[in-house]
Amino acid sequence: MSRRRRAFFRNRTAIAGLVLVGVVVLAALLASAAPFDPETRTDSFRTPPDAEHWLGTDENGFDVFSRLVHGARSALLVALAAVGIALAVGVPAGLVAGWYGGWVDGAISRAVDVMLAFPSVLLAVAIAAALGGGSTGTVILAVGIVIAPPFVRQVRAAVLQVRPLDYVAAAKALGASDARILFRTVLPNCVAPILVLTTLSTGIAILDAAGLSFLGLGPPETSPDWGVMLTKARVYIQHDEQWMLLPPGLAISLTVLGFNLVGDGLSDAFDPRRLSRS
Amino acid sequence: MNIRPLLPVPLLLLCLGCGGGGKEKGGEARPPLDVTKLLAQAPDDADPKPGGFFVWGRSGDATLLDPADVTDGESVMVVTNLFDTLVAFKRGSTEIEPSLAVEWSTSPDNLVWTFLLRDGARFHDGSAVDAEAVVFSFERQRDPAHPARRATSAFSYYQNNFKALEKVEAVDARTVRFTLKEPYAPFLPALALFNCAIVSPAAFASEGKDADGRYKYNFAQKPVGSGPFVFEAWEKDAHITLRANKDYWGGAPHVEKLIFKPIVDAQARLKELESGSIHGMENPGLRDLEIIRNNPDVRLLGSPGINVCYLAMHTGKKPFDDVRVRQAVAFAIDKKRIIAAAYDNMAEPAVSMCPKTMAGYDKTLIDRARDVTRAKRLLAEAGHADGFETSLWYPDVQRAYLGDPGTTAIQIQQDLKEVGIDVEIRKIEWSAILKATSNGEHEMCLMGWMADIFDPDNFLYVLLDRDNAVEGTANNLSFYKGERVHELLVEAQRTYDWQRREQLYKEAQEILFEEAPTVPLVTVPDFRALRKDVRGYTIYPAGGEYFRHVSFER
Amino acid sequence: MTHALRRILVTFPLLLAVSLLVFALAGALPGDAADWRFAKQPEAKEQWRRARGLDDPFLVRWGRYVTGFATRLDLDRSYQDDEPVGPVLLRKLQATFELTLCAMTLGVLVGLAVGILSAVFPRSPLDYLGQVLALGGISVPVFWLGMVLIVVAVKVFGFPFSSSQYDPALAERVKDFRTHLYLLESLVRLRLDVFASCARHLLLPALALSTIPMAVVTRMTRSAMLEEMRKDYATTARAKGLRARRVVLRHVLRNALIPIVTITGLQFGQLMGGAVLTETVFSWPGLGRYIVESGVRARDTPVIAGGILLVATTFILVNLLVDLLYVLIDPRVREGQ
Repeated sequence: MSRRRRAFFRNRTAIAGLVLVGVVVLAALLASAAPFDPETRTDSFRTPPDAEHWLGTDENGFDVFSRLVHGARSALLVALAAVGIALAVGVPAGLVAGWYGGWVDGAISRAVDVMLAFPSVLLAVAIAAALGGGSTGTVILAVGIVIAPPFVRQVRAAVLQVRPLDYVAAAKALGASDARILFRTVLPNCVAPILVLTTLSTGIAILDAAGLSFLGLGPPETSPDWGVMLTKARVYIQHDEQWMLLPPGLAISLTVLGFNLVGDGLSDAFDPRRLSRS
Repeated sequence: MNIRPLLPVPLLLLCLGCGGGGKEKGGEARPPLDVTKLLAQAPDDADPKPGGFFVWGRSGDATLLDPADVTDGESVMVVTNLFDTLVAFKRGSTEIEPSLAVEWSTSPDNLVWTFLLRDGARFHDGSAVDAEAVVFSFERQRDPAHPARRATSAFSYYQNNFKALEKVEAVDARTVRFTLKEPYAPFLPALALFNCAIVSPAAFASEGKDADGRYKYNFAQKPVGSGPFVFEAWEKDAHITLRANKDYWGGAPHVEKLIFKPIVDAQARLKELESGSIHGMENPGLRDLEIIRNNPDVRLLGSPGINVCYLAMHTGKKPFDDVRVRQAVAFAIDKKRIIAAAYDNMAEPAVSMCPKTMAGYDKTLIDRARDVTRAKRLLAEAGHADGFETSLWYPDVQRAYLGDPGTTAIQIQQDLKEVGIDVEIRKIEWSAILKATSNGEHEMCLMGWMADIFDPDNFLYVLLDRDNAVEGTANNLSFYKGERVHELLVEAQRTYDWQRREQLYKEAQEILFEEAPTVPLVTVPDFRALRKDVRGYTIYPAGGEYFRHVSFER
Repeated sequence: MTHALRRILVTFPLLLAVSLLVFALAGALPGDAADWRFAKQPEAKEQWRRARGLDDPFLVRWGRYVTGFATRLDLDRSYQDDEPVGPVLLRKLQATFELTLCAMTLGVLVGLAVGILSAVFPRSPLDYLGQVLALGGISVPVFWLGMVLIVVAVKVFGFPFSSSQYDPALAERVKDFRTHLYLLESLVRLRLDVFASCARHLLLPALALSTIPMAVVTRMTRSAMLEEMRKDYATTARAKGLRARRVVLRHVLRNALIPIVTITGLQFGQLMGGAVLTETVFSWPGLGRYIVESGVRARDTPVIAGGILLVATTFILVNLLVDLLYVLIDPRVREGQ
């Protein structure tokens, strides 16, 4: 492990990614210390940045900087919850499919095939719409479901690799239950690919959630959400307020970049062969 | 006896932009825009150049082209160019003039109306526009078993506006007689509405009938009328193309083709206008008006709109059953800030549900100024000293009267927050909000209304009478059921003396202002942008688009 | 050959399952367009529902739907106007296809070039450029990129921005077109004015959308090439004195092509769906945007179901095609593993 850790920390781009992610996490943690409440209007509106409002105010009179900072919290929350769903669904499904094989594997793998037969953005749109749309919860659920299939595949592949190994057979011979073997013996050996996939999926989840917001299926317009901010800024692309495109757009891009860099770094550190990212 | 409402539009001085921005620093120094200084009509050419393709950019595609069955503005503006009605709006005005009917008379009790049809008008398929065609056009909307009605036709405009109509008969080939069950003052302007377009019976019959006895011809996709333009092609979401009707009884249009191009996004639409790929457009973004005015290649037209955007409180639900709570809400709302933030100062505050631009508006009403203390006091008197929680629903699409639904809703939420009312705002799809609010599922909702019939009845009776407060079919979204208001509005509907009607409407508006079942927010002017070389375009205040006089500069 | 046959056969149950999921999802929408259409007439709506057979059991409706699609390419009729949605959706699909194809071509060409060069000259400025491209393409939200592109193109370069596929004033010139792939067909017919108009309309959205496949292909090419070059045969070949470039291009590239083709196929399908964001920014009359605006927003269930089913079907067929392409590229698959 320590060799890998050293490999990771020697990777300069990975460190850059870690810094980016760190900044976002810090912003999310300290969001409450933002100068203004993100959902209470101030006296001015649609003003450019100045000493009081560091990134100006939007048409509602909300302080853009405060919303940006709170947006970090919202983005991380949505992404982590969505990835949480993907893990909660994908890991057990992958373990079961890989371990038992047979018709169980067949059923799970076919289900994954069906999910993967859809372009993910459209599937997310359909799920969010079917759930009623318009709230953070539906975004989390829609994104979570859409990013789950790769987890199933990854875990299943990892199980298939370790299943024939001696120490698994030994555990079996000792009479351990399936659940015990799966979670105590097999799962720890799948940690590396899951970790990489989790990191990369967090970035994808942030992008997908922003996309849903942009299509009008995101959280309510008062929410300090980067996708919402970007959608509202679209009105200004021909105007003096063009700069309003920048804060949320850059925030999303840099955050996702951060997660991608960390993911790449982890992937390199764990395994010389590149993990594919479907 | 003057049964036609007076026309205050040209007299009205709408000075916009008096609002200013946020408190002091918000509103940047943008010069106020005076709509009355904008032309509602592009100049005419004495000797217009014939020919050319005129492309009109609009915010969406049509849904249907059956004039009796359309309800959305995008479909309406196409059918108004394909069809004629018995009577029509004078160019750029809300006055009624002869169209397919050249003259008409009424019985002394105003229950029987007789129309004489124009001689020689023909449909695009060559058949004559005769009395039978008129009867056909109305009968198919009235009779559920009519063969020219599809299983899916809703004909909602007929259902709403012609409850008083008993029958339509052909007296001879050129004479039609309408009989009403009871006097209905807005009858004549109602006949100018697009759903009263005269359609070609021959076209319907051209492909025979199906097993259910209904005509097979798909009229909603291949409309045949007698109007200045002939339907040519419809490529969904890409364009609808019409060609000039060279034999039009009123004179052929100048342009050879009229193309409607849907461009959903207002910014994209403007960019296309600037680059010349479209020649005119509706609904420019209110924030883009300055850009349009400063561009030498394009021209901004404007006309005071006949619409109202309002906040409705469900008076059948607590705490809005208490008039003090409703008044508190009315005192809490800052219309100036809404206008500045959501309308870029391009709207006029509304005082009554009958817009200032509509005859019958009570000019003596003085609006409440925002008063937070007073609102809090009223709330305390009503037993809500600590405020309360409620919800506000608003549509997800822009409407002519609701340029930025989200911002308007958020400003109301913030206004009410400052008097202690905690509002959860919820954006709802257009179709869903229409259904839910007419079912009375909301607490508060943000809605609006555009005149379809040019008469105060169309605002006050439709939006505030208890007849229209039936769950499931309600247009009265505050479900206000005031007895006195009902008496006044119904009497006004049956009265043909305009001065008497005006008095009745005045009293009703005073009561409604005090009772505050709704808070009228704004009236928004109509804006259009055109290329500089376009001639002869006119805004019609009562809605629809009419391109017969349009031509290109020589 | 058995592999190919099996692969083709597997497609059918997959399509069936996909249609079931789509049908269930679209049917689960709260409310539908007819609520609006018959807003004030509950009886008319009941009558309409009966006439459309919407009260039948779910499986019956699904069975009817699938049969209609399989036998007549029928995708049911809209809830808004009772017109068949199939023809419109197919037209939109072509618009999306044209956009995706151009974006994909651009992305793959640039991605391949940059990827190969980065692998051949690792740690060169070109390699770094490639990495920026590869990371940027998957990190920047494409709709934001699109907006920024518009600002830059219009404000800075004065590019005449225009939505849709072609200028409607050219409607006469495209009237006889058999497809809605206007760019391709105008080129085939050598109508250069139409071609120019289409190219101008397509440029910005295709550019924005191409960043995604560009990134993925760059990454994939670079790593596949590096991996191949590390293998024995490449080292041997080089040791034998063949010129380095020929080694790279002949052997390494041929072997590296397999994962690249896979990823390209996958990307193509993803992009067909992912294009919805780009289409929205640029008002491109594509399928994704139509699904969201006329389907989801208007609650027109058949539009959503039909639209997504078409994209998914295209996606599955493209993947099938890619799989079959393997058989040609990789002899090992042909023998059946």
